[in-house]
Order: sequence, then structure tokens, then C-alpha cells
Amino acid sequence: MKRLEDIENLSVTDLERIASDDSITVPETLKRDIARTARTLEMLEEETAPAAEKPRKRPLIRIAYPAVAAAVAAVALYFSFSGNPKDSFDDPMMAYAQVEEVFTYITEKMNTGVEIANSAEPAFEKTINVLK
Amino acid sequence: MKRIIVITAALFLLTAGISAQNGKGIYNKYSDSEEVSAVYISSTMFRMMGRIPNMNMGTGQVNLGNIIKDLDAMYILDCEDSDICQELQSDVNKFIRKYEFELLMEIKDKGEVVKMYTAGNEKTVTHFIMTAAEKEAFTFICLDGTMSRADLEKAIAQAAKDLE
Repeated sequence: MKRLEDIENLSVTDLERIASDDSITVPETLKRDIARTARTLEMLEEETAPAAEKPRKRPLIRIAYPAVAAAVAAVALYFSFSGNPKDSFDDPMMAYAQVEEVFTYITEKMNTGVEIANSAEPAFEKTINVLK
Repeated sequence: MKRIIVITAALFLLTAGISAQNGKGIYNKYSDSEEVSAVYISSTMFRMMGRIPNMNMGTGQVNLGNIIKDLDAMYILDCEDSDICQELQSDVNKFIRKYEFELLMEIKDKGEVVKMYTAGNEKTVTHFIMTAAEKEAFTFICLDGTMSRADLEKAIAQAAKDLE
């Protein structure tokens, strides 16, 4: 039986001679065996391929968790912002005095506006008369 | 995890922004600030008061107490820090634009700009806002309640007539 070293040491002429030797018969099942081996190798390659190359589907529930958590946080924040503030006064009389003060302040400003508008009216009427 | 933080932060800003665009939201946002004086009177307190103050105003003067029928809330913010004043003014302007407030009156007097806005429908004013802006001060008054638009306009017109 030939060793691997003997085969490696064969010259090109020797290889041609052996190839053209009709006395050596090729096993009938060789072609089929080669095809089967190739298919097996392909399957093994597919199985051992890195997982990152395959598009991985994230489970829907894992995607929904952050959205649900964020929505809950937003609702909590909304209610914390929109909650009724605490009354500034415990005593209705104090509150009444504050409201009265605010009304007086608004009224004074309104009256200033009315006065300014009134003082400008003669000039305004004069312009209208000129235009007529 | 990073996604949760980003989404929560975005929703936080959105929520804070939306809720800061009404009287209560603006009040809640600024009332705890040290540079802001804040007063809130609730509908419960108005019920305990029993009646709306009615001032004895002279002729040619608008009497707000006669016009306001019912008050649900009163928010007052008075600020004297220029940075906070700017932010507060910006939030108030957003609120005014969002709810399509109508400018009732604008008074420029001694370096102070006073603006009064109303919102509601043709017959009733449901929100009244007054802002007073000076160089480094800003006052925001918001009244939520019910007042007749016709009465308000009539009172202003009558006051003007009395002054003639």
C-alpha cells in the first residue's frame, strides 16, 4: 500500500502515466459518494455558520416592554403635572381679601386703559372729521 | 434599556410641555420657584367665600365684581427674576396662542405693558388672563370661571362713556 509521502513525491510524468492506465478501474459509486460528501459538507457549513448573519426576529413582547414602561411613566408624569395645586389660603376671609385685591388691581388697569382711550378720542374724531 | 430612557425622556418633555400650556400647568411649573410669588384659590375656597367680592367703584370705572358670576380657580404668579420671567412669558404666550385667546385690551403706561385676554364663546367668557410686563418683572393672573361677554363689554363701554 502506498503512503501519503509516496503519492506526494510522484512526478507529473508518473501522474500522467497512472491516469492513462486503463487497467485501474474507477469504483462505480465514486461519483455518488463525492456528491453525497459535498452535500453533507454544505449542510455542516450551514449549521455551524455564525448566528449574527441570520436576521433574528425579536419577540414582540420584548419590543412592547419599553413602550409600555414609557407610556406608564408618561401617564404618571401627566397626572403629577396636572394635579390640583394646594390652596394658598386656609381662611376664606383671607382668600376673599386676596380676590378683592386682585379685582381692584385688574380694575385699575382696565380703567387706565379706558382713560387713555378716552383721552385719545378727540384727536381720533378730529382725524375722522378731516377725512370726511 | 437605553431605548426606555430615551422614550421616557421624550414623553417627559412632551408631557411637561403640554401640561405647562394651561393656567394650572403654568402655575404648577412655576409656583415652587423661589423667585416667584404664587397664589392659588380653588373652586372649593370660592364656595366657602360664598360670594364674589364687589367693589364700590366710582362712575367711569369698570367694576369686575359685578361682571364675574362664578369663579372656578384663580392663579397668580408674580416673578422678579429676568430669566424665569422670560420663560414664564413664553409659556403664557404659548397658552394664549393654543387656546386662541382674544386680546381685550393692551395698556402701555410708565414702562409697563398690560395685556388682557379672554377666551370662551360669543356669550360667555370662561377664561380671563391678565399679564403685566415690566423690564425685570412679570405678573400673570388667570381667572377660570364664568362671566357674560356682553356685560364685560357693556361695563367697559359705560365706563368710557361716563368719563366723557
